[in-house]
Amino acid sequence: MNPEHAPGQGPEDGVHAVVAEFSHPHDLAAACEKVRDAGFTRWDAYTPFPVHGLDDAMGIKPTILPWVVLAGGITGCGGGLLLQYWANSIAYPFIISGKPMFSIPANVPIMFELTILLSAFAAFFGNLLMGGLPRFSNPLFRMPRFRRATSDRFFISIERSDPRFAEAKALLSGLAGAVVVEECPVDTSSDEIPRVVRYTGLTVGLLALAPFFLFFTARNTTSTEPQFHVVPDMDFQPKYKAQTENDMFADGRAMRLPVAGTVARGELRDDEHLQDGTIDGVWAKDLPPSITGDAAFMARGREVFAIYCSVCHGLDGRGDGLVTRRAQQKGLSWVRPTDMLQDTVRVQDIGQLYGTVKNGIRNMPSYAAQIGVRDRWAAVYYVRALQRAGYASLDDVPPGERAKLEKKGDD
Amino acid sequence: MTSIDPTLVEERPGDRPPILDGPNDYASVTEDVCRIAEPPVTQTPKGWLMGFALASTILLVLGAMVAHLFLTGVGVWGNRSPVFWGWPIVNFVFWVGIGHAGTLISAILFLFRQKWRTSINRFAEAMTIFAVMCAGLFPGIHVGRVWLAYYLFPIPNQMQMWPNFRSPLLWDVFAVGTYATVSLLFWYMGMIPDLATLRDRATSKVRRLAYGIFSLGWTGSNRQWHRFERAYLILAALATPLVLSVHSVVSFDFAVAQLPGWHTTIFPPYFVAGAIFSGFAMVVTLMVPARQFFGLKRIVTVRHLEAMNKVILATGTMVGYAYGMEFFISWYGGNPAETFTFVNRAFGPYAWAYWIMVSCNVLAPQVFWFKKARTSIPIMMVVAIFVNIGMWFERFVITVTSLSRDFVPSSWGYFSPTWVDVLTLIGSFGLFFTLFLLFCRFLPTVAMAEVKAAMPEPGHGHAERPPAGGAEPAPEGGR
Amino acid sequence: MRGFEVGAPEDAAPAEVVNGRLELCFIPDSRVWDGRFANNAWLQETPDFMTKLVWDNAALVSPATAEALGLRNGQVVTLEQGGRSLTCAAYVMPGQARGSIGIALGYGRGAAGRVGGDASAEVAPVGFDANRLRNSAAPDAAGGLKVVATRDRYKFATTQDMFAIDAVGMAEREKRVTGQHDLVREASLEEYRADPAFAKYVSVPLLDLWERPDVAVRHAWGMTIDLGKCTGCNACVVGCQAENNIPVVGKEQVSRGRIMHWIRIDRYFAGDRDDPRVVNQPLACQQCENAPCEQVCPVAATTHNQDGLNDMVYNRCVGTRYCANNCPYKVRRFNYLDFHDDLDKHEPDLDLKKMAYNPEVTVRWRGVMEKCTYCVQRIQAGRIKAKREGNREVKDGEVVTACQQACPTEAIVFGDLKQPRSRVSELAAAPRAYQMLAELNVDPRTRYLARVRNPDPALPKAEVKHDKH
Repeated sequence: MNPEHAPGQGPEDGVHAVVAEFSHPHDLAAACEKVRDAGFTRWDAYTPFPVHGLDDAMGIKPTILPWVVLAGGITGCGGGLLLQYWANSIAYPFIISGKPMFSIPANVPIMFELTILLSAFAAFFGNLLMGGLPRFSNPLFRMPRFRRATSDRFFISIERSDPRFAEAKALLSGLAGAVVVEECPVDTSSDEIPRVVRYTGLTVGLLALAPFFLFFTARNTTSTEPQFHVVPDMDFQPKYKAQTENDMFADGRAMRLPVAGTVARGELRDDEHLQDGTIDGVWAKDLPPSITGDAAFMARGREVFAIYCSVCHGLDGRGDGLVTRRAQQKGLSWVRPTDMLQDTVRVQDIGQLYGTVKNGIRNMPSYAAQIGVRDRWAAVYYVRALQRAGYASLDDVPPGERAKLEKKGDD
Repeated sequence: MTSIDPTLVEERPGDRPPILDGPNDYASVTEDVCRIAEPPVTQTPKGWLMGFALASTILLVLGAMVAHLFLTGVGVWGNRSPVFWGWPIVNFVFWVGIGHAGTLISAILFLFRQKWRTSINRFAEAMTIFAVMCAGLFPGIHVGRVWLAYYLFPIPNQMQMWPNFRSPLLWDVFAVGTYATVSLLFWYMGMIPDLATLRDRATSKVRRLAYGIFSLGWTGSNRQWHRFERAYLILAALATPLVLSVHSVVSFDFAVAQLPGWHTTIFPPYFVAGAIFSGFAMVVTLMVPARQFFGLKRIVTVRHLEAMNKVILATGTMVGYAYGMEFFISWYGGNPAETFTFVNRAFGPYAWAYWIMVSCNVLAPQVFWFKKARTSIPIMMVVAIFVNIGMWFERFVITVTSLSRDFVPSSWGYFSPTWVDVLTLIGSFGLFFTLFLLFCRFLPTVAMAEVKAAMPEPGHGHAERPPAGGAEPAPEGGR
Repeated sequence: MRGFEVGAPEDAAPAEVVNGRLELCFIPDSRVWDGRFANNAWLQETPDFMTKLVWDNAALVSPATAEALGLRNGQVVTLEQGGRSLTCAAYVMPGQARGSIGIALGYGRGAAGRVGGDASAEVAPVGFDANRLRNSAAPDAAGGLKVVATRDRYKFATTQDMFAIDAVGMAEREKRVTGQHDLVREASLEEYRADPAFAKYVSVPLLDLWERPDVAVRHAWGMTIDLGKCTGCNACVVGCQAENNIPVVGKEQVSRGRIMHWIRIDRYFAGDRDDPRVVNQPLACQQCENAPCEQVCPVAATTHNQDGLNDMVYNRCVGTRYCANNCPYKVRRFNYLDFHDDLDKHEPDLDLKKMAYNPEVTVRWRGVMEKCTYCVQRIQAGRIKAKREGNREVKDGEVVTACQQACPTEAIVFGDLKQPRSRVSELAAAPRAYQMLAELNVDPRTRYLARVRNPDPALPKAEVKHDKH
């Protein structure tokens, strides 16, 4: 507050300011004009209510607060528009009542409210901060007389830091209507925070950090359980989900098997060749009669193979799919999947290949749950094509396509 | 920068009674207002203690009802299909409406330089804050899953979900939230100089500390006043469109829906007029006993009350016009569903509510055409209470009767409240009056600085005042 | 029994209503039959197809009889016949024969079980035991009935006409309900021949303020309901309840307007009070293209998905209930209380109860809005199946909603409106098809097929009378 002191007058004389008291606002206004004209700079008038005409009398320049408020308002308006645009048409776009993702009319109310809100914040906090508030300690508060400044008396104070402070007392004493002229002492009390306040503040501050700490630990947890269940909401369902336990039954399963000797609609398994890939228990050598192995079926097979098989077996079936390569890269213990082009596999009947997909083999699980019957056949049909392609000669290529291959080989 | 004389009253002297009665000076105003807040806790007036005990008991009832609601579910109320919104929303709109007078008196009358407002504005603003708190309670607790009410705010979250900004309810969140915030800032900012007065008069250490913290170190320096007045003016200018927008947005909750009886363009102005109407009635209801009890008759004079009664008459008549216009449009618009809704309101199963509304809101205030009624304390008290009741019923009629019978007759149903509905409404008054009594006891109930600024300077008649710049239309004036 | 008068000359003088010489008819109940299903809560909470009563039977009296005897809805009466008596409550039922009082069997049981009444476990019986008036001499109907009215009132729970309707409401309902251009559209055969597309009428031109987004990217699921085929049997209501884990809320909650059924059957009377025509209209979520419920939800808990379905996101719902207010059909249902709360407790047959739930459908907790989803879990299952089977198209008729599956007359047809040859597309394009409340421009996906009446001319009062048009 008191950065400089007038030359020749140290702070040691203990004077902070000279204060004159008035009992009428018009006396104060006249006095202010005199102080202003005398060229003082670090001084102020204190009144219990705003006395009009005093701003001119003191020579106060208009405040820039309106511009701050304007900036706040523009921020609120633009921010409101951006928030709504971003939230409803970029971050979280949904079709609502067949309406467009973004339309100004629906956004006007919130833009308006945010304009007002941010303008009001600017006005309120701008007013406080620009006026140096909050400021809880002020040397003037140490003067008993000054307490009436908020009730019915009017004051002028000229601070020591004013370059012309030496003339201050004389000037104030000579003013008409000045009831009392006093010196305000410098605040000599310790600026140390009282112990009670310090420790309370520290405790509250630490406690306030606790939620953040809890959030921090929560986000690092490896537990799959939710942290708190204050409200059960719909997290615990009073129903049996698929693959869960139910003590009511001897087998402990919640899902029931069909009654023995019954077949559900569409579940009749009367085609051994198609369903199991065998004919009288022996692996079938051909596609089931209900399936035609044409180009479309091959294309489907390629699709199914790419989706389900290639991740391990690789797109060419040699056993170096993405998962395999990644596992090797990471140095994990990973059994390399079978190379489908090796002879042991090539000699298998197509029915056996189908059986492998359906039932699984060694480390490979059954894919019956993921791949439908027709698609399983399509996949093994494609595997056959891969096997043939791995050992193909130019003679296997249709005559019309050979030229292309030769050209490619030159490159 | 400004030059309007503080003591220059707009009206010519002798035209109207002065703003304050009897001999007053700055010190007496300070004394009159501060002595309400200053007695130590041990010397609290008995009347206040009894009132506070009653209000806080009712507040406890509210707490019990809210706890019961949270633990059991919205089913404790009478809400049903098709009346999915029942009393909670009626209460919400009722309280928001009441919360309009304070900011209106503070902001709009300030901009219009109605100096008589200075005696009552603090009071009315406090009423606004507490009414908006009551109002904010209801939409908060009326949702089915209260613990997820934060979904309504655009808070970034791990699920990357955002609210739907097309919904009028979301507009409502922003409008009521902004209104509550700005009203609070406006109220608090106006109170800072008066809190400083209390700080400087405080005798006990606790009071000095408490008022010291909340007055933020205000000294009354003219450099502070200069900026303060600017900020106050700006806040008033911001609050004026805000106060008009809030009830407009609340009315959008209804008007944007396609329900017959809700879907009308007249709603925003009609709601705003109704809000001012109910708000002023509530100010009169509270001001009359308060000025008696706290000895503020010299500051809040019959002239203030009469002015408010005039506003009640004007807005009550506007509301009556809106009732008539709704009927006219429902017929003129030719929408059969709409026509039926209004016939049903007046002559259907809820006719009793409709006619209570019309008699309380349109007929009762008409007595204020007579000066005798406007200046009679008992008459204005009765009319004000009638208006409060009538305005609650207006919201009931709009919300419940429209919902009870809409498009498909098979879904029609009759709403009846439960005891929880009734006790929650009563309990909200407990919240309101508890806060209000605390305000009356511990805070400056009258804006002392503003009253002083509007007073003729002691020892100086009007004629002496220099007309310095009095004609200059500087907006900073009027304080 | 009812229907005895068929064939009686139309101009026969109406029978005098003489107390003490009234007829008493025993009717098998449409839900619990003779009482054997009285312990089934789903059936107890199914509204009777005529009375719309739940959890009750009643002494049904026609409006004219009620007037003559001075009875009001819900008045407690004592029926005295052949030295026996039963205290029950009267329910005024248009269409009940004059001078005849009907009472459904199967209620008032003391040994039905925990739902329908169990004297040993102090579970109060549901309804009134009509068997107390019945003997082997007159098992179906008896004469010489005397009705003694008391001053007491009994509280019925109904899902429609939930309060004694006043003149204003009655007049408006008459105006809105049946006719060629109303909520339930119907015409006589001649009228239909004159203008087969009579039901297409929309009172106002429909204009959109904006271009609609292309919502039906993959499918456009839709439904048609043939009002000519609907008999109001309630099978869809119970089928839906079983499929979609819809709770039973009990009589008290039903009387407070909180029944949870996703599909309801609206029953309206038209014409003469004592001999009315009856129309039924099943009403579930209409899956509007411009769904009015969506725009008012502050948290976007109900939105359109890529199949153009109006989805309800339970976990996002905070329960403002604004959507239900803005739904012109009032088909949304709110969980006012935790209607499944008995499942939180440890009851002996808890496991059994839990098994009644469909694992594919979320069990909703209190505070959440719900409504018909067009059985979205079945749609998903059908789509996944088609995808697994060679990524083929979902075939018409492959996805069947629960209500459709349960409907004995096949009045409900569901399918993809994007497939031009699907049954639902063809029906939706039929001249009889109309959208309910089309004038609101909500553009519902569910379409109704207007009813064409063609009664046998040999029957009395065969001609369709229209009060207007």
